[in-house]
Amino acid sequence: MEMNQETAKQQLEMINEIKTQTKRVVAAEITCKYLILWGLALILGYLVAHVYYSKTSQWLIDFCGRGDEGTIWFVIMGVFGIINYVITKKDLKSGAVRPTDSSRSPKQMFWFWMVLGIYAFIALSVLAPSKGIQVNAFMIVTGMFSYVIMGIWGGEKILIWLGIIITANTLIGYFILPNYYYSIWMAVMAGGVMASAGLFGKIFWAVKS
Amino acid sequence: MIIHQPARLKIMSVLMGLEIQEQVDFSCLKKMLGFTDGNLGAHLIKLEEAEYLYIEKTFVDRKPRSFISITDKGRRAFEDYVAVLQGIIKGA
Repeated sequence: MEMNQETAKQQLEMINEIKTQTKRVVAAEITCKYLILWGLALILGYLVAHVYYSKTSQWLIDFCGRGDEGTIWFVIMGVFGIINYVITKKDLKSGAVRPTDSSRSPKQMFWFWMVLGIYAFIALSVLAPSKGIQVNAFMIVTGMFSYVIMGIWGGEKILIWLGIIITANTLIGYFILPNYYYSIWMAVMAGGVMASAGLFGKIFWAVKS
Repeated sequence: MIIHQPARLKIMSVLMGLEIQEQVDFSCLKKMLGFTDGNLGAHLIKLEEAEYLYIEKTFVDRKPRSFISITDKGRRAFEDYVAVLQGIIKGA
């Protein structure tokens, strides 16, 4: 194989460019739709929580924390979990990029989130008692930690950056803002950022027909 | 060297950009690379004959679909090729 240094360099650059483009197409095809979905879930959950607490006295919220938001989040996560399942099922059958073993990847993902949830619950039990707002911030930060890890292992930079940015926003909302504004802040700066990132990928990274 | 051909190098680069157990649809691959059906099909056959990739032909909603994934042999061949390129750049 006859090749000079310049040609070799050009070929390596082309290879790296195509690999990056492929990662983005995969993100647009798979990851981004889940970011939009769960971004919308967070927006909805926090807006409902904000409306619910705006009807409660401010001094009570500051004194007790945000109380039990469990029911709101349980219902919303359940509904969006079902939508998630339907999308995954469709993608496995006819998605442009799919796992070679269609049964393995979703099962791994399901058990990953289940185990993460169980361990988060255990950590909360050990650290109890905690206020509602603490539980909420803890769950979001735990979820974002998993995004960063998945991003590092899967080579998806969008997940790494999203995990870091939403963690930072959560800490600002938790430590700096008054409790009353926490939900509205998180609706925009967690749910909004997540959905926007998904939308960005869908628009700019998807394969143009 | 089969991979040295530019079109085939592009195909292999896309497949290397996927996760180890992922496969890509023929139409998606075609759009990503900007190839025609015939051109892409011909190069895929060459690479499949060399056992560098695997083509799974299936039906989705009664329509034929082909999904392409890289084999271990293809992955090794690609990595060897990249090592050669790096060697040339370093002047080895």
